[in-house]
Amino acid sequence: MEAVKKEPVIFEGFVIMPYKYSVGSMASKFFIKIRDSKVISGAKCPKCGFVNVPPRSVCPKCFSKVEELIDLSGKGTLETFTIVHYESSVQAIKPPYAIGVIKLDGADSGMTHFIGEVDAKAIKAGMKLEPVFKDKREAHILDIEYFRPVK
Amino acid sequence: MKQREQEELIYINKTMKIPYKWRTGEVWGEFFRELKENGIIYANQCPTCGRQFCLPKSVCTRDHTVCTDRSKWIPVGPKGTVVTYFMAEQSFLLPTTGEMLKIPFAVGIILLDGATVILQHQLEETDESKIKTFMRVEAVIKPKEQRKGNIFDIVHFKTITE
Repeated sequence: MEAVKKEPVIFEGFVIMPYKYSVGSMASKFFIKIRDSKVISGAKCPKCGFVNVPPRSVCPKCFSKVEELIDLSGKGTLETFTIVHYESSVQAIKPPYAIGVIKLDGADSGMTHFIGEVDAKAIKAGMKLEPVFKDKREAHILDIEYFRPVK
Repeated sequence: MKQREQEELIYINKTMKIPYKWRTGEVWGEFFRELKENGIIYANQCPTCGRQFCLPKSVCTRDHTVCTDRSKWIPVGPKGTVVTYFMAEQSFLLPTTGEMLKIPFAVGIILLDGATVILQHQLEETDESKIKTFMRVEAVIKPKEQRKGNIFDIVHFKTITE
């Protein structure tokens, strides 16, 4: 009794998911400042003073309502990073790229972004970085193209 | 009551395209291999109850006999009879193409000649008044160079008179 062949037939397909989400009031102000003034801002909690970047309307430390945005210099320190080699259709840019957590001067939380203009082997935690903005900005996190080492 | 100022709100619009791979298994793999290479629609037969399944099954749903014996596969169709049908009246986003479904869209529950279990597929006819139960249809299969080995190699079933 000959059984059906064991080699599998593999379907390759893709699922397309269009979506739209609203970033909210605080994040809208944050992105508008980046687009219009090339300024990165943080949310300062009125109760405990915790500065959160990107800003949120509820303090992650004490859960108070936060409404104040303070301008930051944009410069910061690289806390940790990784080099991504794996490619996926859901990535913003094509690998390989370096991505890390940057603690901006004046902020208490880190923000994630790409690290550019530096050789992968030369990236070290503790490096001083500054943002590089795109010329054409759309009120999106990628208006900041990447962070580069301060010269 | 404090009036909220008109503020600019930002929206993120994005379309994600998520690739996937699906292993069909031995039975459907054989069905789609035959459809792709030879353009023949196959059904397989349960050795216990004798029913012919199209789309083929690896285990009979009635008596749970394993049905992977290749010698019991028989070609069916391409003609068949519409047992019943339904019309899609509301369009929705098709996840595989990213486009809205073109309505009206008719799906026929078709018994192919030689099969005992039905196959569900799109009918070519979109005018509901022209679709009747027990009408005869024939599978329209893509030419060999366009076939990919999936169910869309059967484009749809067209109405025939006989």
